Amino acid sequence: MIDIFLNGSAHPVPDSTTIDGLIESLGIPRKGIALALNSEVIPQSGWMERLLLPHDKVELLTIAQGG
Amino acid sequence: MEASLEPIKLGSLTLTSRLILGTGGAPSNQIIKEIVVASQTQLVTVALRRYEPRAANSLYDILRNLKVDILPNTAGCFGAKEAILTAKMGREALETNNVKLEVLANDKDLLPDPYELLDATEALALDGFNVFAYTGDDPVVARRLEFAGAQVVMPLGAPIGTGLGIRNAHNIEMIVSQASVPIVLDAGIGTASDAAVAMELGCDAVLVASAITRARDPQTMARAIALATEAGFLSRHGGRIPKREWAVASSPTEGMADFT
Repeated sequence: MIDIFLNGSAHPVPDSTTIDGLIESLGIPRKGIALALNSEVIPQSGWMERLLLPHDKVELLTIAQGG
Repeated sequence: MEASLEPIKLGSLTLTSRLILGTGGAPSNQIIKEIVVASQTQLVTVALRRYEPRAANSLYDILRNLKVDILPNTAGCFGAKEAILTAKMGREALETNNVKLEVLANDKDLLPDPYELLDATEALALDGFNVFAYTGDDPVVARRLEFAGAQVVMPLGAPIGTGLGIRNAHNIEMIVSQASVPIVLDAGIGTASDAAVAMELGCDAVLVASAITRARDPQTMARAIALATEAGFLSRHGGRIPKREWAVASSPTEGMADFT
């Protein structure tokens, strides 16, 4: 297992986990979300290819109320 | 065509409603649903925030079911870099190139930082975004934003959430008169008459959040502001009479009875 940071909190994932694998493990719908890895926005089309490394910072956002 | 039916093109969107609804400040998602329906808006704004598993994705589902277009914003960003990244996240989350670009100078007055805003506008426009730039009421900055590639310029009437109305109506008129992109009055509207004034000044649309979401009865206020927006637009197109210093009788002055 390795530790990444998911939305600011330590989050363990198995070695060789892709972004897609992370989203799968969270069991969340794939519509209306966006993800950045170490401050780089990764489109969904690239989620299968990107492997997570120790201490990677993942920001997973969705829409919220806003003016 | 009756003026009220004239559609407006904002970014990639063509809308017949000239009221953009901000969802910020609503007491619940149920209220958002009610005010979207009551206002008959076709475009709502949202922010991007960290995914919370417990909150689920209900706002997204609600808005999609209501069949309104969704305009992501960069609210809360205090620099061009952060705003650009947030805009890109919004593009991914909502599959739209439209973005309401907010780059704020500080968290007290929430006024836009014109320098960072211009940099971010230029970068995002080059990257294929349709930038809706939230700006102050300075006509020079508004013009510069247009040159930088903004497709919609959104001057404030007053600082966000203040409900102080349009503090510098003449500036808004100047912005409108020299613009070749749509002008949307954003921020400061406190009540229905403010929306009407914005439209009478020549704005192409208004964006309203707090005045509706934080009203005692949001549903009723949504309807009131929608009507006022349309009334203001019609009034602008109907053409106001010139202001005169002295009275001009509207009843005929000839044919009066002689009661002497």
